[in-house]
Amino acid sequence: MKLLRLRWSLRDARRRWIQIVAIGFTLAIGIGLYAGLSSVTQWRLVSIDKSLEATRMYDLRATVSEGGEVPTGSLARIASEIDGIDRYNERLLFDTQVETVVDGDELLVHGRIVGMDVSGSEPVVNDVHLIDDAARPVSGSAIPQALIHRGFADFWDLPARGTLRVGGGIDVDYVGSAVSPEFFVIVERNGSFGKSNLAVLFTPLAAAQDISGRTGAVNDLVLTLEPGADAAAVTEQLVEAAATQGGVLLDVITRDETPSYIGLTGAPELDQGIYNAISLLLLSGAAFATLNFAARMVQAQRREIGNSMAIGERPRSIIIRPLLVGMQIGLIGMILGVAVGYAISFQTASAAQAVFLLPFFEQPFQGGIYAQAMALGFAVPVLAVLWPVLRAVRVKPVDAIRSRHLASRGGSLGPILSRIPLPGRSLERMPFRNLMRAPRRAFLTLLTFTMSLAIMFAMLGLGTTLTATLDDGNEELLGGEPDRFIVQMDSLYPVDGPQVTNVLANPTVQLGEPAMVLGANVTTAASDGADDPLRLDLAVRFVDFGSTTWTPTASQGSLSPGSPGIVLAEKAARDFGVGVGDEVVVTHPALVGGAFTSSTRTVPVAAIHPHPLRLNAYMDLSQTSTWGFGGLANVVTGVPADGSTLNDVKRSLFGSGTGVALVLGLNETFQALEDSLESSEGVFFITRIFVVFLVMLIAFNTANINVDERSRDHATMFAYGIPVRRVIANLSLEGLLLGVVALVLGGLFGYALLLWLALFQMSIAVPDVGMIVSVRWWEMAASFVVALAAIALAPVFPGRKLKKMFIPGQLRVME
Amino acid sequence: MIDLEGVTKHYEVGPVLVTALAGIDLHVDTGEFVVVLGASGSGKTTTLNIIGALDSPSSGKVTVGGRDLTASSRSELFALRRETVSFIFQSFNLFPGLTATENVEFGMDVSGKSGSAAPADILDSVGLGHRLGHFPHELSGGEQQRVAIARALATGNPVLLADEPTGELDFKTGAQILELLAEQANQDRAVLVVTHNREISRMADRVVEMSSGQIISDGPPEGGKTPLSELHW
Repeated sequence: MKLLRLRWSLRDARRRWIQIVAIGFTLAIGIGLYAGLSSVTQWRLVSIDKSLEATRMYDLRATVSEGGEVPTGSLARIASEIDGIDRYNERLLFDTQVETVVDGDELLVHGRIVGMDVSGSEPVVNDVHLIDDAARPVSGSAIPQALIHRGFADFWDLPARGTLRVGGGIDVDYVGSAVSPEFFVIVERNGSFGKSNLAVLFTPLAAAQDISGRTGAVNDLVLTLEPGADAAAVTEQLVEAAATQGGVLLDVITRDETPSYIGLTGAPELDQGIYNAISLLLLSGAAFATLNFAARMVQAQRREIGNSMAIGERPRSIIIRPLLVGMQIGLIGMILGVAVGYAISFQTASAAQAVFLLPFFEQPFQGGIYAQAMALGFAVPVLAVLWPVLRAVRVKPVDAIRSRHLASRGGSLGPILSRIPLPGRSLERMPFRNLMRAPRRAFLTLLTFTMSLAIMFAMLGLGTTLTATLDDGNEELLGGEPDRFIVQMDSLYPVDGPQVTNVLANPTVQLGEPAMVLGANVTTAASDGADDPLRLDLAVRFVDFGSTTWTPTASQGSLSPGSPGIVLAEKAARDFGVGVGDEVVVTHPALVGGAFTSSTRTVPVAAIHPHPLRLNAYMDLSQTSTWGFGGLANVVTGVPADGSTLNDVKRSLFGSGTGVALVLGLNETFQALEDSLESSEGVFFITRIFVVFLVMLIAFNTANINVDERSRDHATMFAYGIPVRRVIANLSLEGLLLGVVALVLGGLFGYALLLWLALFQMSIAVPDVGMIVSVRWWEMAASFVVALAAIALAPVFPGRKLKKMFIPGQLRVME
Repeated sequence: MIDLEGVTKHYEVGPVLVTALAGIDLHVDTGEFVVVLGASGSGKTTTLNIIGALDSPSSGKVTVGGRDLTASSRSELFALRRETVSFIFQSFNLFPGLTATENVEFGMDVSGKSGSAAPADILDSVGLGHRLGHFPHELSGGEQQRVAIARALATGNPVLLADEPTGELDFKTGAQILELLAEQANQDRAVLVVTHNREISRMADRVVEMSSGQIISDGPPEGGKTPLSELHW
């Protein structure tokens, strides 16, 4: 008997293989996306650990403060005398500008030279990992040699070897590309640099000293600790020894405080929150669709189940055949799900590799996650078939056999809805009537469409939101001048001193305005006494609120010259829970009697600005004096003079010996963010493709099952001379009716989902950025039209089945 | 109205060639109430399906309403079913999503004869004036078959084909249905009823008896046309 059931079930599968595969594939998309996206964190963390271990990232990094330097060997000597330090290496790091030609276009970007031991002769802390066939740079060559950072080289598609020009007009030969743990992800506090606009060059220490003219000098020490060593104690000893022996102040940070490390290790888990949300929704949608389709497929066999009951077969035996169908669907779902999961994993891997420049990228198979997804994938169709079978076996056999005018009764709502009067001819009313007589079935189908469309809406919206956030941010800072730039001075200078006036008077510069940017720790006045009040480190930029050149936009409140108030970003105001007129407590550096100190004051919120970066805050230039910095500036903003380009400004100002540390186009402000979002966008893109595919599969399955369920109706229509195309048109219309409602609901739920993802989930993943939720309606409309078209055209596929129908055979089916 | 000349029909069932019709000739005029009688597998339903253009003959000529079905295109056969023949099925085949009235409207709509008579009037004529807004699942078997007849009548088509129309019904209800069908022949329609029930054939104008795909007799019922009241199931 069991063998008979198996043979019978296999025959069922052969007869309905397209349907079974299509339902299995629907499930597979859900399983695959869930398994693929859920695996991301695991293999990213594995890759990060392996990469950090191979390159021996430092535990502590000590930098000579205030841009100072010490003789080579002095930091090493201090380190050698402190217990608990395992390895250490001295380095010389300095910023420069890097110039090259890419595809005939001049490229001038900010650069950072890392002078270190790149010989590979012995294990080095924070070592470089050479990419492919890169050579080791050697000291003493006529032209200094270097390794170029892989991210920059890849982004600009630079040749494997070549020559660059750095600040001071010095040519440097790069002999290959490399990565190093500090630059596995390029991220800096102000978010200004990404892999495209920061060229990191790793050179032998001597070469770096030659290029910078700091012969025999170092300014940085990286070290690893012995197991069990106390990092705080080592730090204390380092700082103390440097002060007493070398007379210099050391700034020491731990690995955990390193921005790139934070970005590297924090991002996977934060991204995972978004991936989890997306994958769970998709899995639910696919599981729901499978539940619906598998159940409907088995429901169509209720008469056979009735027959089995009538001849006395035991219910547990009756269940076997439908159960085997469910298992076949589950099996296909599992197998295809693994394939989809792998496709997703590869996509997320390549997207992540573009941002996380790790030497080792591994994707170990996440057996646990896949097993979880596959178990669910197997359980869903099995449960789906059990439900209608259990219902069917509870019916009296006589009713099951005599199902002719009992079966199509519908639920309690069906008869009520069916009585709603409809206009038009009977044929035109039929699609509406079909939906109304089985409201539960229609609702389930509607729900699966709605979920898929909602996810598609949210995915599209998220892509647009990321772009809008970047664009709006740039627009706010540029104020209509695409080449507006900021000149960062290497120290504080009097506004009327030569350093600042030289910049202002430079012939490539116009509309120059000195300003001051100071870091400040801000919290709300209301949070006094709170256990854990929100504290944010903000970059307060003092600008002339009366300037006709550029001022921040006040989306709330107003900018009054001389006002003591602070202008917060919308995101910061939202996070603090403050509005215009409220007060915040600002702890800031103060210059008192020529010495730096710290001061805390309560400042009113004068206005809110729309720039998405939370850390951007503004105060009127006049307020610098209240902080003790009156008459001083550390930045100058401006635009290139007529006839000059931004590159001209960079070339002219950098290395001019007038205290310029950096010249940066303000449109580069979001570079790091842009790079990090690139990773998410890739994943969102492939997710969107799978969602569209899911909608198509659901539409196909719906149409296919409708054709099977209504074969007798269709045969009757054919017997009355209704052409096949009209029957297909009716099926299309039925799908479209559901599709349009799903579109509206999907749009609404999708927008809610988008708001949740953008404002809540993204806020956790990228807390410094206030997402500007934006929807590109034409893109949304185009996608929805495609989805609707898929739904409307789906009945064309089973149309062949309709055309080949043996009408007399269907007409005599007694059900 | 209906002409079959040397019609054969073969089916391939695996390697076996099954002959369903072995060259039959049949002529039915307007106003005739013909019963095709035969045991299961005799070829009666195949004959009906071929006349109704639901199936095509392997050879021979079929003319219905002046149209040669063997020389007609697929779309012409669809048109024939809309404009010339109407079916009544053993299992009624009503549209479960449509009410009794709407099922009748369907018949009108497909034949393009909307407005020729009110669906309610047609339903009334088959004794269902009180069940207009009911759905098929709310009707008894006999009522459903009467709706099916009303639907077929609503087309106004001159040929009415009924395949075992009383097969699912009790005697009394079946008798009422047959009476209804017989009335249609009196209204200038050709009515062809397929059945295995010899008793039914007694009320026909003509009985065509089939066996093994052949017509073995064709003529008035044995003992002449019998009134419905004298039939026994």
